[in-house]
Amino acid sequence: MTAFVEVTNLTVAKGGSSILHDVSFAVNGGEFLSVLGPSGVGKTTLLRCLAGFERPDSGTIAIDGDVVSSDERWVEPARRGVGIVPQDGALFTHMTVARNIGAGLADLSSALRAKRVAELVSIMRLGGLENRLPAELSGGQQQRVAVARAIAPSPRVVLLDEPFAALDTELRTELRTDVRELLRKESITTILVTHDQDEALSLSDSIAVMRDGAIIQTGTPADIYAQPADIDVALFLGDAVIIPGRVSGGKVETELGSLTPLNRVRDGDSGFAAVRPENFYLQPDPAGRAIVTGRQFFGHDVLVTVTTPDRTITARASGPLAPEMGMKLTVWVRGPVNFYARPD
Amino acid sequence: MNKFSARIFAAAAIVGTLGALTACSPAGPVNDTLVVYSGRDETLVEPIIALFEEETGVTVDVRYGDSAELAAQLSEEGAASKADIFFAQDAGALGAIESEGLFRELPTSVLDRVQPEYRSENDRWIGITGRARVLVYNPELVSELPTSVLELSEPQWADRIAISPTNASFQAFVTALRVINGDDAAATWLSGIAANAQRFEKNSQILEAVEAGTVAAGLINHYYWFQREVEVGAGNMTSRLASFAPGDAGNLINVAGVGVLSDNSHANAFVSFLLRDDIQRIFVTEVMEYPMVAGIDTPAGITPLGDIPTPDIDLSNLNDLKVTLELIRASGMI
Amino acid sequence: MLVKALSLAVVPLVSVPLVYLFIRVAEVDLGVVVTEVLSPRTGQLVLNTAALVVAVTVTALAVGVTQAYVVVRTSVPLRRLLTILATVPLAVPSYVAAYGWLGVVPGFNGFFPAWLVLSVATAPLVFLTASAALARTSRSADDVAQSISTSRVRRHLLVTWPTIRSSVWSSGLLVALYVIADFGAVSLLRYDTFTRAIFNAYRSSFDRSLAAILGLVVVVLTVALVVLYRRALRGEQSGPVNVVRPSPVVLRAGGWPHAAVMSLGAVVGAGVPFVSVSAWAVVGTSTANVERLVEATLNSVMYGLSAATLAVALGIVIVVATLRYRFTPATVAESVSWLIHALPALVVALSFTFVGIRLVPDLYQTHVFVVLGLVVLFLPNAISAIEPALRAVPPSWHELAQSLGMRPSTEFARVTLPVITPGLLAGWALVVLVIVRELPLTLLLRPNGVDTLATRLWTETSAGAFAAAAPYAVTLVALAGIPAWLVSRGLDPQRKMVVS
Repeated sequence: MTAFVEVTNLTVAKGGSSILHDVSFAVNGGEFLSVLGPSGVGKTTLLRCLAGFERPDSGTIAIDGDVVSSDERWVEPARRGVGIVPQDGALFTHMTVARNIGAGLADLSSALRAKRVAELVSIMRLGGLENRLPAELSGGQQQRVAVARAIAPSPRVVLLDEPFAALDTELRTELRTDVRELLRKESITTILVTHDQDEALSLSDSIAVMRDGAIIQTGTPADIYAQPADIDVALFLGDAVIIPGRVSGGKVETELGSLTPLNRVRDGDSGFAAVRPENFYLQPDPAGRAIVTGRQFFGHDVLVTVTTPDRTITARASGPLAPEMGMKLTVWVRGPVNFYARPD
Repeated sequence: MNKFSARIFAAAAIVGTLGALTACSPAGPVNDTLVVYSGRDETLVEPIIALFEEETGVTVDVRYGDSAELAAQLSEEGAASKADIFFAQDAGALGAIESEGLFRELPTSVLDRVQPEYRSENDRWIGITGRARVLVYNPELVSELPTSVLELSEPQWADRIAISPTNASFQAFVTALRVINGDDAAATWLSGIAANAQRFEKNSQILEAVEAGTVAAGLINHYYWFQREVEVGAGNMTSRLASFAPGDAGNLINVAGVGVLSDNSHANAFVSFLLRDDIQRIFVTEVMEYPMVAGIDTPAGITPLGDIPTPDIDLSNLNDLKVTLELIRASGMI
Repeated sequence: MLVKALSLAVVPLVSVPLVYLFIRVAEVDLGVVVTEVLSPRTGQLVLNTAALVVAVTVTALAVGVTQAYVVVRTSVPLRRLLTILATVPLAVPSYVAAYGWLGVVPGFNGFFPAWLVLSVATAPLVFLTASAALARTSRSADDVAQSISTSRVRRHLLVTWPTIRSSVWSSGLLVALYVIADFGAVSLLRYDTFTRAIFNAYRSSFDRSLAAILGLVVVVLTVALVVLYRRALRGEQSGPVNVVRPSPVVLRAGGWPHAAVMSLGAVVGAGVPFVSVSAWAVVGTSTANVERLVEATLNSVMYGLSAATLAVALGIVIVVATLRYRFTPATVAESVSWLIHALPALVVALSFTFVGIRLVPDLYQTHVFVVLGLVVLFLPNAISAIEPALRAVPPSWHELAQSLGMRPSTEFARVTLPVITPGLLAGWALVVLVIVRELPLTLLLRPNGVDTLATRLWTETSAGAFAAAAPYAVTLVALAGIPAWLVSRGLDPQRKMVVS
C-alpha cells in the first residue's frame, strides 16, 4: 500500500542558503505524524510546502496518490484538501466564532454549513461563544476555533504548526487531548510541527526528527525514544546522562560498570553511552561513593541529583522509595543502553 | 523600522522643533519701517519699493497676496493691524477697507494729484495706476472688429468670445455697463454673453486660449498682453489688442490704488512717492499701465486715457457691486 | 496626566475656526442666514459638492488601495520608484495641476476634469495610509485564507479588507474633506463647490458674512460625514500584529505591466502639469533668482518638518487619549479637527488672523503662528495614519507592559512606538507633503517677506512668469520625493518588521 501523504526529495533554498535538503517521508492514512526539531530547522517551511504556500525548488509532494507539487505539477492551496492551524491561530478578526469555523464551508448550503459548525462547536467545546469576536476569546479558546475552522471542511490532511505552543501547561494538555480525539474520530491524517518532545511523544503515531533542514530519524515514539539515532537526538528527546565507555566483548565498559548495548557495536570502539534517568537504580549504601546532592519532588516520582566521583547525574526514582538528601549510594544502570561510537 | 529611518525621523523631529523654537523671536518695532500689504504682484511693485527704500532709508516690509484676501485679512485684523499701507489691485478691495472705517484721510497735497473719478469720494484712498479693459483677438479668427462691447452678445459671436465672470475687473466693467446703458440693457447683454461665451477663471487663461486659437477673442485687462509679450519676447505674440469705440463701456479703466491705515509718518510720504512724475513714468514704461497723474504719456499702442469713458460711478461702492453681482448671478454665470 | 492635558489643550486650538464662524454668522440678521441657507443656489452647491466628493472619494480609494496592494504585497519590480511615483502627485498644488492640464487640453473644465485632477491628487492620501496598513498583513491569516478559498476576491475579503478597513475609512474621509476644501482645482476648472462659492464671496463681494454662512453650512454637512466615519469604525477590532509578512504575490510578466499602469497616476497628477509648466519655461524669458529659490526651499522644509512633527506628536496624543483612555475631550478635538479640514484654508487662516491678533499679538504672523495654523489644518492627515496603526496594537500589550512595571511613557517608547512606526512614518511624510504644497494659509499667516516654494510658485504664475515659476515647481516635486522615498523603505515586503 502506498502512503497517504508522500514527500520525496523535497529541497528548498532561499537566498543561497539551503532550508530543506532532500527531505523524504511518508504518512499513512489517518495517521498522526509529528515533525520534531528545535526552532529554525525548516519545520515551518516544510509545512508551508505541504500546504502550498511555498514552492519547493525540487522534489515531489503527493496526497492520496495525487501529485500536488512537483517540477511539472502545482496544485493551489485551496485545491489540496489541506487544513492548517497556524501558531497564532490567525482567526479572521472581523468574524464571529461561528463564521470563522464556517469560513471554509462556502460551498455548502447555509443549512448544512450551520449543522457542521454546530457539530464542531460542540466537539471543540465552544458552546455559547458562537457569536463572540476573536478579540473576546482567551488564547485557548482562539486555538480551539482555529482547529475547528481547519477541520470543518473535512480536509484530507490537517497541518498543525505548533498550535499549542503559546498556551499554558494545563490548557495545552486539555486542548491536545481534545484535538487528538477529534482527529481520530474524523480519521484525518495529521502532520504536527513542534519543538516540544513531550507533545510529539504523547500525541503521535510516528515521529520524524529534523535537524538542519534534513530528517535524520523516523519511527514510532517508542522506537525513537528507546533508540535515538545519535547523541543529539537522545539529548533532544529527553534527559539523558552521557557516560564515556569502551566496547569490549560485546559489552560497554563504563565507570558505572559493564552495560549491555541496545544497538550493534564493534569491539574496540570507544564512545558514549546514553542513559535515561529512569534507567538508573540507586542503591542505598553507606560505603557508596555517590552522594545525593539534590532532590525535586513530583509526587509520582522524584528527580534525584547524584554526585559521583566522576560526574553529576540525574536519576528518576519512584516517589516513596526515593533516597533523601545526603544519603550515600551506589549507582547501577538497569537494562540495555544506546552506545554511540566516536567517529574514528 | 530600521535604524536608518529611525535616525532620519528623530533628526527631523529635532530639527523641526528647533526650527519652531528659534522662530519665536518676532522682529522688534523699528520706527523706520513701513508695512505694506500689497495685492499687486511682487514683480510689478518690488522695483519701485526698492527705489523708495533707497531714497528714504525707510525699510519697507511688504506682504504680498491676493487683493481680496488681503482685504479680508485687514478687515479681520481691524484696528490692531500692523499694516500701514494697503496697495490693492482694484477699487472694490479699497472700498471694502474704507467701509470698515480702517483708512485714514489722505492729505490734500496727495489727493490733488489725481482726478476725482479715480479716488475715494471720502478722500480715503487714491488711484495710483489704471488698466483698461480691452478686447484681445486672434487675427486669424477675427476679421471684423466689434465697435461696441454690446455686439459681443449677438449670435455671430456664439462660442467665439471668452470672459472671466468671477474676475473683479469684469465685474467692475459690468457695473460701468449698468451705469452707462442701464440695468435692463446690462441684464440683456449678460444673458446674451452667457450663451455666447467660453468662461475662464482668470484673464491669463483667456489670453492663452486666444493665443492658442481655441477661442477667437476675449475680454481682458490690457497689461496681461504686455506681460505675456515680455515673457515670450517681442514679436512672438499671435493675438492683438483692440479697444471699442470711444465712450463705450467696454473701454473701462480700473484703478489700482492705495490707502493709509496708520499714522506712520512714512505712509503719506510713500503715497506721494508713488504719485511722483518719475515713478508714474516707471509704471507706464515697465508695467504698461496708465498713469493717474496728468501730463504723463500713456504707453504706446493703447487708447489714450482721454478716449476712455469715465462714467460717474464709484467702483469702490460695495452696494453697486452687490447689484452687479446679483445681475451676473441671475445670468447663471457665477 | 500628560496625554490628557495635551489633548485638552488641542481643543481650543482646533476650535478657533468654528468660534470665528459663529461670531461672523451671529452678526448677521437671522432672516438673511435662513434665506441664504435655503436658497436654490445653496441647494445646487450641496449637490455639486456631494457629486464631486462621492466620485473623487470612490476613485481615489480604488486607485490608492490598488497601488498600495501592488507595492506592498506583490512581486512588482521597481518598488521604491513606484512608491515615490504614487506619492508625488500629492506635492503638486491643485492649482498647478489644473493649470498644467489646461495648458495641454484647452477647454478642460467642468465635472469630469475636476474629478480627474482631484482623484489623482488625493489617491496618494489613500496610498500612504493603505500601504502602512497592508504592511501589517498577517502571513498566517493569509495562509489560512489561501487554504480555504480559490477565489481571490474571497481571500481579499477574508484578509486584506479587515487589514485595511479602518485606514480605508479614515483616508476616505480625508479625501472627501480635501475635495470639499479644495479651491485651486475647482476654480480653475470652473466647477462650483462650496469652497469656490466661499472664495467668490470674499473676492467678488467682500462679504465676510456670506462666506461665514456658507462655511457653517460646510461644517454642518461635514458633521454628517464624520458621524458616518465614526459609525464605520465602531467595533473595529485590533488584529494580531504580525511579525512575518506574507510572501509577495507573484505577478504575470514579471509585474512590468502592473508597474506601467501604476505609473499612470504620476503621469496624470505630476507629469502633465510638469511638462506643461516646463514647456512654458522653455518659451519664457523670465528667470528665477537662485538665492530666492534656496531661501524658499529652506522655509518650506522648515515649515514642513516642524509642523509635520508637531502634528504627528499631537496626533499620537489625541489618538492615544481616545483609544486607550477613552478621554472625551480628545474625541472632541479629533472630530473638530476633521470639520476644520473641510473648510477652505482661507477661512481657517482668517479665523487665526481674527483670534491671533487679539489674543497673541506678539505671535501673530510669526513662524510659530504659521506652524500652529498648519498643524490645525493638517492634524487629520496625521491622525488618519496614526489611528489605524495604533488600533493594530493589542491593548493587552499595553496592560502587559504596565504589569511589568513600565511607566506609560516607557511602555510607549519600547512597545507601542516600534510597532506603529510604519504608520507614523507614513503619516509624517504625508503631512510634510501637504504642508510643502500648502498655499492659502501660508500666504496669509507668514511673516512679511517670508516665502515658501508654494508662495513663490503662486507669485510667479500669477504674474505670468512661467519660466521663473518652473524651478519652484521642480524643487517642490523633488522635495516631495524625499519623504516618499523614506516611506518606501518601510514598505518593502522583503524586509521583516522588527518587533522586540
